[in-house]
Amino acid sequence: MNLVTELSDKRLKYKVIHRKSIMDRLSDVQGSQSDTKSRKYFSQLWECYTWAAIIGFINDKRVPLGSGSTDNAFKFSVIYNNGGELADALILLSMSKSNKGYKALIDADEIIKVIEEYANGGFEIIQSLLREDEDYFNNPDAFIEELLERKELNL
Amino acid sequence: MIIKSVKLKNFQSYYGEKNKIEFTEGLNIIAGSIASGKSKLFDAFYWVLNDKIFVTGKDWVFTKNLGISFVNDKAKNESTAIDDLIETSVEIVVKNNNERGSKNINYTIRRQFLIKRRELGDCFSSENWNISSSDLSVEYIDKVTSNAEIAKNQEAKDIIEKLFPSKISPYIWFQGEALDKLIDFDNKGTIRKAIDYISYVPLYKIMNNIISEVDKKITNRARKEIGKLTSDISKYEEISKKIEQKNASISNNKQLIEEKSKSLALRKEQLDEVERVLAALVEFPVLNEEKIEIENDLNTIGESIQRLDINERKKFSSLWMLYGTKHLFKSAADRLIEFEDYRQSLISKEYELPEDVPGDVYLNKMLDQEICLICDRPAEKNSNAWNNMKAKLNRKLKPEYLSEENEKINKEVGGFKAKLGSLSRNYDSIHDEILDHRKKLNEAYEERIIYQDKLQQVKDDIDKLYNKRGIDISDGTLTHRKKHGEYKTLNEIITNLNRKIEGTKASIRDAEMDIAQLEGELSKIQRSNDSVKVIEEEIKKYTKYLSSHIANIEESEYNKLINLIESEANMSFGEITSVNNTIDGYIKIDRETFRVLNVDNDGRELENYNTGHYTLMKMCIINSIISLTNEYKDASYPFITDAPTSNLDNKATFAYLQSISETFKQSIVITKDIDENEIDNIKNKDYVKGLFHLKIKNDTGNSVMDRKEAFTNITTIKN
Repeated sequence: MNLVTELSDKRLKYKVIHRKSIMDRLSDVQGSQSDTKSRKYFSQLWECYTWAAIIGFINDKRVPLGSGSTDNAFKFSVIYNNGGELADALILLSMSKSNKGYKALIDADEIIKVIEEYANGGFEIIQSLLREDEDYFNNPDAFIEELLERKELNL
Repeated sequence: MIIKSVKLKNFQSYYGEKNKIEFTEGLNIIAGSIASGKSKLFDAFYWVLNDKIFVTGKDWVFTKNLGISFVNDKAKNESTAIDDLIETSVEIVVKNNNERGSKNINYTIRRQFLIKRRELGDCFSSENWNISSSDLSVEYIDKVTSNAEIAKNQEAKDIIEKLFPSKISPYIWFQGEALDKLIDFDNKGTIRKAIDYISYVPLYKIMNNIISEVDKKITNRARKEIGKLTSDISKYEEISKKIEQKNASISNNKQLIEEKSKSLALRKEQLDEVERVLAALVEFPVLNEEKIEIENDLNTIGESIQRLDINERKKFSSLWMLYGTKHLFKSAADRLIEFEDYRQSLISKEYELPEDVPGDVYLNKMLDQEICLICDRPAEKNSNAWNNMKAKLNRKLKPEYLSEENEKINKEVGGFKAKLGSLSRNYDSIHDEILDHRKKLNEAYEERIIYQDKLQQVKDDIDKLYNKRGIDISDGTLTHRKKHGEYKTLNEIITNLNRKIEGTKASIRDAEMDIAQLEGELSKIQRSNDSVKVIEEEIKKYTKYLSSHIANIEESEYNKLINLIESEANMSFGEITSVNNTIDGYIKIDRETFRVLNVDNDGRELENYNTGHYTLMKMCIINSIISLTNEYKDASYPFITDAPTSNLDNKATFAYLQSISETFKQSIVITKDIDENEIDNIKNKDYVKGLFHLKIKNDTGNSVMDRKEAFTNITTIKN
């Protein structure tokens, strides 16, 4: 069984507080087809989750989930089936940060764990932005602004 | 008549109730800079008498349509509780000496408007106040009973009409902007009406009518009396009867013409109104089409923004969010390479081990042939040599690089290496894609703003059209069709009326010719006794003379008055223009069209005179009409004017002020054209009897005048 097949059935965990304060706030959980103005920026939970994970990876913020209550609304396969290359990218990013190095490529649980911990770190960064300005992401332009503010490190 | 005082309470910029100006006879000047409350004072005079205020762009607006806009803002802002009551009122005291025996009768005219707080929301919003209608009262001492009386409603309005007759009141109020709305000099009837009011012309008309009636009766009587003295009485009577019938028909026809002319004038007025509406409706479809076009463009822009937005979200959630991860991909690649290097090192290590040789394949071959193929010596089955060879079978372990774990990793590494290659290629385009997307989106937003502004402009133009014409043009096509129908019908009615009038006039001419012929026949019938004088015949001579004479007087009085208006107007015009080099020539009222013209010495119309000159000319005519009214009617009216001199320079302003001080028994001039440092100079001029200064101020010491705190302060300098 290869890695992707193994990952497919695994669920990604996140803290319930992040679901409430960030994911639900920025995603149209019902996937309603309302007009652009009132629509939230992400149409599904996994998009917001993946975005948070990438923010965590970029800022190198890895935070274990700890003991608080968690939730796991979607499987990794959802990202694989909808997110194009994002799922591959997540695996590669996870592998690049894992203490197991390339051996993580045969350790689905390690890949998932690393993604979860960086996503958790990403959520904390987003949370701190929202603490400064509650309406920070109400303007859809803020998402692109956040992208362009990321530093491109050419190592 | 003079205005003794004005008192304002919470009216526009006048806060509280301590706003009183006591005027004197002669010239009263109220000076103040821009936005000091000058025009609001003019509004107050007009409002108390007419229940209307002039609103720029909207014409005269009745109190009921003004909401709470004219209630003082500071007063509104101070309201903090439900049921708070604010009173807005203006009170003027007028001393009337225009009527016989009315000397020293003071009329206190007061209009009051109350609002009561209903909700505690925005205090400047009408929705949060209960509004009552404005309340008019006139207080005076009855000259017969000496009792104090208070008139209200219609009774109060009647008193105001008596004090400021509506025929003359437009000339009492003069405000630059409102001038054309008050007195339309382009309308032939305007000057005629003024003349009718100030002169005896209408009286002459009545006298002429009476004399004509008397003349008709006397002529009939004379004819009858003469008939009795003729040789052929029966023929004389027959012809006389015919003449009487013709006269009766002329009289009927004249009455018919009068009626038809009245109805013609009415129809023409209606036609004017319809033409006005149609003109607006012609403008409306063009504006409306423009509006629809802009709205369509805005829709297209909106759709393209929506497309860009959808595309952005799709791209964001499939690739763009990876932006900034390049260094991490690089370290992922390093790890993949690390594995490949490791694997390669294992493979190299395998080749360094010679004891693996010969391998099982070769050993099995040697065992089969019972010969050592390395040393070429025989090795019989089950011999020591053969058994030695057999023992070497299965001697080699599986190489490390082919271990299950490494094989699995190797597979994944291969797969992810390819994926990383594809990811890197796509990654490199993210930055440009985002910038390109942003550029397109910004362009679309900018375009949307431009089109939104355009739309607002067109909407404003449509609103202006609505306000200017005072008609509802929202249902353009329907109204246009209806109005066009009315236009056609009215034109037909007017044509018919004209035809009828012309026809009736022709009948009158025919009848007059018949009468002349019949009278000729009558005179041929010999009178049997010439010596008998018929008294009616003698009277007839005088009535004929009187009738034609009064008609002449009416005509000449009318001309004289136009001449007088013209020459009086030219006197003030001359005084003002003598100190102002930019305006010259004379005022001329065209006798045909009644237009007011600026002409040179030879009566030729001057070109290139601007609105300012034209306004000044109109002003001089107004001065002249008021002044002649005072002379003719032995009654005087005050002249109240706002910003009359804004088109003039300093010298001309003073000349104008002096001119009106000489023309009117009382004038109140509200002006911004006198600087604060000129006030002392003006104060010492003999012709200035009253001088007041308006200034906007607040109690907070704040230099910025917020409407919630600022109010007009009145200072009396001279009175």
